Amino acid sequence: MRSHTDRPATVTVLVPASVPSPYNDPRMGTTDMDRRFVLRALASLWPTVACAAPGAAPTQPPSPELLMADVPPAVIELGRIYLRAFPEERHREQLRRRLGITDDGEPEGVRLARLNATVLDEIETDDLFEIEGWRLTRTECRVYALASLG
Amino acid sequence: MHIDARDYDQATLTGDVCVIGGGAAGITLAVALSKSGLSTIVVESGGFERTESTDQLNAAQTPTIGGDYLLRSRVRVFGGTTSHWTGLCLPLADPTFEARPWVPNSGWPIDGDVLHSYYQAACEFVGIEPWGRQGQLTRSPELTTLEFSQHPGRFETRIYQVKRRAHFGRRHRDTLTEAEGVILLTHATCTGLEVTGPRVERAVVRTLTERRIAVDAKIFVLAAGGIENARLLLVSNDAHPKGVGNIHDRVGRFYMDHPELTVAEAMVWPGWDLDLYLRGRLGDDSVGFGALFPTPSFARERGLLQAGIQIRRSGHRWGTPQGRSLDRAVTTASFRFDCVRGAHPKGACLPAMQRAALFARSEQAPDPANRVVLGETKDVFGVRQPRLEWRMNALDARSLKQTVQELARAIYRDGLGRVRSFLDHQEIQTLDATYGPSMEWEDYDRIHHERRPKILLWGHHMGTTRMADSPRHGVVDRNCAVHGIANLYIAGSSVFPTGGAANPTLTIVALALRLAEHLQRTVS
Repeated sequence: MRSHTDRPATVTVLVPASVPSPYNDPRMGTTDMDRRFVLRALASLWPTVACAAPGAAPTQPPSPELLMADVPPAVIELGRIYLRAFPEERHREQLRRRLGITDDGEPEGVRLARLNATVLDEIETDDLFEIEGWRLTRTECRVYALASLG
Repeated sequence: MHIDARDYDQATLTGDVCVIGGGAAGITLAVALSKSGLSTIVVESGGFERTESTDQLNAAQTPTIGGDYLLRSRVRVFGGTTSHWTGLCLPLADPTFEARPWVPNSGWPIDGDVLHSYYQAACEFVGIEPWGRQGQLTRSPELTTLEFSQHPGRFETRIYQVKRRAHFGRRHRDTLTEAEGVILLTHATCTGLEVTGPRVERAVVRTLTERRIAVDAKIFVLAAGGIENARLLLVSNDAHPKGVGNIHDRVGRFYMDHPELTVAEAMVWPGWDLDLYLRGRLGDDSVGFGALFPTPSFARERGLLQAGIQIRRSGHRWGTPQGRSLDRAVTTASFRFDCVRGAHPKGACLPAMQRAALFARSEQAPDPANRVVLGETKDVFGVRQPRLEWRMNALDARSLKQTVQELARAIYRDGLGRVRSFLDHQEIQTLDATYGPSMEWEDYDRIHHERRPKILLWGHHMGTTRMADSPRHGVVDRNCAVHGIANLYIAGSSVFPTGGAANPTLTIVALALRLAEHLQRTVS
């Protein structure tokens, strides 16, 4: 069940009702959280928007590691949840290999296209990890796990 | 002419056509016949306003469905259930009419081509824009539909129209009471048919004031609804011990409904135009909404029944209070992830993601075990009350669950958002079922909190006198004539061999218009 080679495998993990994170701070109002979320979302969208702007020189999309470098606590939290379920994957290099991240100078665009193709394949083959009913692909979870390892 | 049966002092009434039931089917038929020169008698159990005593005639046993289902979903008033109809209209999709190998007992003896012109006329009758042959709304403004780029061709958008103020009784009362050759007999409950050999001689009509009237006619049409049509055939058993038209034990069987339930919640990323799905407005003067259906080819490939999945705003009710922080974590992270992998639409700029509930209207496979039978208890006229034996079968459940999973995958693949299905860990067949309007707000909240949906049924009683070319497979033929009976027809959703995932009223009207045409030819 826990082996990544057992595909398709949908794994259910029950998470404690209260996940410690800034998002759980009762002092923080919904509006504040929404605003922060939007700011982050817009920030992460910037390369895409820049590419789409008429006459703009295409900018290099960021790598998963780079984009996740400014990691929201949510990502770290999900990464930790995944690693609790699959502790054998708690190795940075192993996760990088499984995500196809290498240091051979491969263009980021190629790398991201491969990442997306893997995600699409995992959706199709139901290679999903379930957190409280949300179903995330193995690769998505591994990106979060990698980010959570710092 | 209008006659209140309680004040009628004659023993008989005579006409060319006797229509039993003044609901969507009966009124449509009577209006169409009123221009034909045939004398028509419409027998309606209720009056122009609802009364408690008349409504009580709808009492019935529904052991598997709560909310006093058959008592509350049926209305004995001139106008029938159109008096509380939400006005939702959509033609049946073409696959509904086809014999689908993966759906036992599917297939109509007529197809979408035959019905198309009647659907056009039905839209005019109801007062909505007609759909084109391919399901398009030609007069509506440009509408943005969701097109999935990854694996296109799996889901398609179909657009429901909503007809406001659609009470047929109010709209057509004057037409019928003033028409020459039409008698509207109210407060007159048909309690059975007198049959001699292959002919119906008369309809026996009674009032709550203990009057008894015999209605004689050349042609009789049962238009009393999916439950009562079957009941009247079953109780009319003097000459036919198993009931009229029931030599092969088909009457009452194959009951179908449209189970509706909240199947999932979703977070939809900013940048997607969901107006068509969320806003409920097609143009300045028309109301409606889009829903996502598996395409016919995808349904064939995966062995799916039809289901329309609507995207609804869920606002603050979304999510469980305990799980909200985790939900936010998932959506925050997943949104960024979809941006990274390039699946998110370019130029996304809306200020907030949209919280939504996915709400399904699903088709049921025709199943002979789902049926209307005569119960042991009797109504005030001494007629046995109906008893409805209903459940969702394995195909219904498997198909719905898989459809939701496939839609969730499509949403994920295309970077539209994330879906949390309520069905993944549920035995759908064990879910509670109830009459839709009996749900309270607290019940809806509970569904979101517990992620255990309730099946809502809205009185779409279908299939109990199904249409088939052979009496071994159905009760009426392709012209809605009861097999083996020369002068008895049936109008309404009880003749549907399959019910698709569209609300039945528009099809009821289309079939009634077609029947009117047939009767004019037959009688003349």
